[in-house]
Amino acid sequence: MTHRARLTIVAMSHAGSDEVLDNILEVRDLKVWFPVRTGFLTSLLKREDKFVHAVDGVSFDVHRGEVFCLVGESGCGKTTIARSILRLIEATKGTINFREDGGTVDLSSAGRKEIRRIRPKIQLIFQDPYESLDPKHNVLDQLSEPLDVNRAGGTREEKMKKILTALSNVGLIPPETFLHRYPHELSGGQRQRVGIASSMVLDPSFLIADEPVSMVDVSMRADILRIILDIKTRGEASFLFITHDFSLAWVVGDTIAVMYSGKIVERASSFDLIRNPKHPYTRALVSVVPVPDPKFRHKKVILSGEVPDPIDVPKGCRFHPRCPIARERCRLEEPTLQEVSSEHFAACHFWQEPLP
Amino acid sequence: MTALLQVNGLKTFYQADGDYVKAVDDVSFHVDVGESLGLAGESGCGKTTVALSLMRLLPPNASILGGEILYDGQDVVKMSDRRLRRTRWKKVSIVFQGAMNALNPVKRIVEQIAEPILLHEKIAKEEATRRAERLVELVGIDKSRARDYPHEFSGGMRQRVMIAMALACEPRLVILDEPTTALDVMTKTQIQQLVKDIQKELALSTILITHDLSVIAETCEKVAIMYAGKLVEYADVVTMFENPLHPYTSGLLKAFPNIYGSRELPVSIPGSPPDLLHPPAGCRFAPRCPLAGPECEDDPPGKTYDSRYVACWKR
Repeated sequence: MTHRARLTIVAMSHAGSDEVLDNILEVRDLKVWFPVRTGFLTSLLKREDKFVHAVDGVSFDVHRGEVFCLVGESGCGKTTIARSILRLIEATKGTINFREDGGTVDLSSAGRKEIRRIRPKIQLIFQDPYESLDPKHNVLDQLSEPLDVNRAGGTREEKMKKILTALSNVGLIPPETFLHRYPHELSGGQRQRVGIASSMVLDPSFLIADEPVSMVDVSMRADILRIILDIKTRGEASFLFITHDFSLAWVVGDTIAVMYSGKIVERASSFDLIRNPKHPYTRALVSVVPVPDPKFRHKKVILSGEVPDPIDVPKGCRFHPRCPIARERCRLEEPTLQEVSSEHFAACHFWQEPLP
Repeated sequence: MTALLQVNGLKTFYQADGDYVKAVDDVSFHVDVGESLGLAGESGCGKTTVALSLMRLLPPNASILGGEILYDGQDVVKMSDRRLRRTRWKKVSIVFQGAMNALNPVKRIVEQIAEPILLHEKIAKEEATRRAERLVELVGIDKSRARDYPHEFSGGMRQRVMIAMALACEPRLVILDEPTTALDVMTKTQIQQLVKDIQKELALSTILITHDLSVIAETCEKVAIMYAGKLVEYADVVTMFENPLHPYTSGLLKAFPNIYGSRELPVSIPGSPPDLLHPPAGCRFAPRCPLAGPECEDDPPGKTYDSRYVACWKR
């Protein structure tokens, strides 16, 4: 069965009606602007308010059962998107529709009660397992807390069963031997597994993994990625996977969206995006991914300069000051995402041109 | 070629709770003139301790308990402090991990680059400044920005300043300890290219310390792999990637995804590195090793084939 066919079936069974609920998350024209504090005098003299355009008009869908990767350099807005989905910051504009059990909730405008109800369904896997675990909590405490806070534990036996299942699902086997261990008694890889287990104990349907392996040693990374793929394959949750590393998106992602300066510049299936990138930024980024093979030779497109200041974003295409094929039109007219081939979108006027 | 740096049987231990953490335990390697060596391993394998030992910049609870570090035939371990001061930066310099955050915020970058020149050489301030300006250009920063302050530069630019500083006294060997870890992919590539170009231009030798074997594959000629304080394998880059001898090296190579290869998940090495306060007797990798047998309870013999080295019973 093709991946797409399986997804649709999963979606149908969830919907239970003729409406095909293929998407778990639909983000539309999301904008997150942060006001810049200026001095009293400046604010008197200059009427104009300044904003950091962290996320500036982003739309995408996460299909049920997929790993959707947001890839970009630091400051491109990928973490800000994650935080607005979790409602840790308020969106300036746009909607974030989360679809669950036949209903739809706009996470950007839902009230406190609604958010509290929905939050167990959306969980976060933290980046740094050395910071995310409380050093004074043992594993049992760590996994009990989310259940207690959300009154989702049930009876003592049920709660213990949930905790033990979550631990064995992340490969901490036998789970009983880990219950009374403290973070300092665990390796980096084990800590990250505990982190994932405590996100999974509430049985969420959507997980946000923000650089989940960047602090884990290389020899143990694959295990963490395997856990994520296992959760996906068992149909337990869909993922928003945030990373700067294309080689991770290559092995875990179904879809990749590349961000630059608060915008999505390209979106396609992982295979298509990495093997056949269209936007000049993506083409350059893919070309500089280090390859673990000293005999492999290929042309690297090294961009000069740096990501633009999010307060004063360039007019026209935001990438034009660094783009090797930029022309007059790029300085004037901002490109929108257009379908350049089937299910492959790029925001560039000249995506068909070769790079020098 | 002649060895510029020859390290023989280096042992650097940390004192902890009246016991020793055997962070670097009997490590030998060499770096030839103009050569680039990649020193790789996971966190805690001792690679940074090797770097600090080479510069003798160890923290007070660490000491070099054995071995020699011969730079141009002179042993850094036995050097007097006076001699050492003349060797550091003049002959060997280092770019630390996250060093771009170590710049002095209230001094112009050109002054900071000139500082080591003034400390090490009897030279007029103007001349030192002129040299510092040339270095600023060498690392790809526009001369007009030489009198800017660190906060006016991005992370990548600050790392360039640190490289200029490391080159200030014209050393023949530069140690780069995870020089691009905190930087973005594109900036990383810019810096790697810069280091490559400068290395060629100045016939510099470099030791690149990193956990990322892909970066070593792209930028180094030789590679040394450390595990739990031991050197497990040394070879030229192509040989090592084509035919790794040590099971740890093969495991580590399999752990890297490759966007030009299959989309299969890479493979982890089971278990985790040992506690260096009480490392396992014999081969330190044995508890995680797929090939381990009874003989691995004894220290593995170091074997040399042609110009490569491996420490494993099974090879």
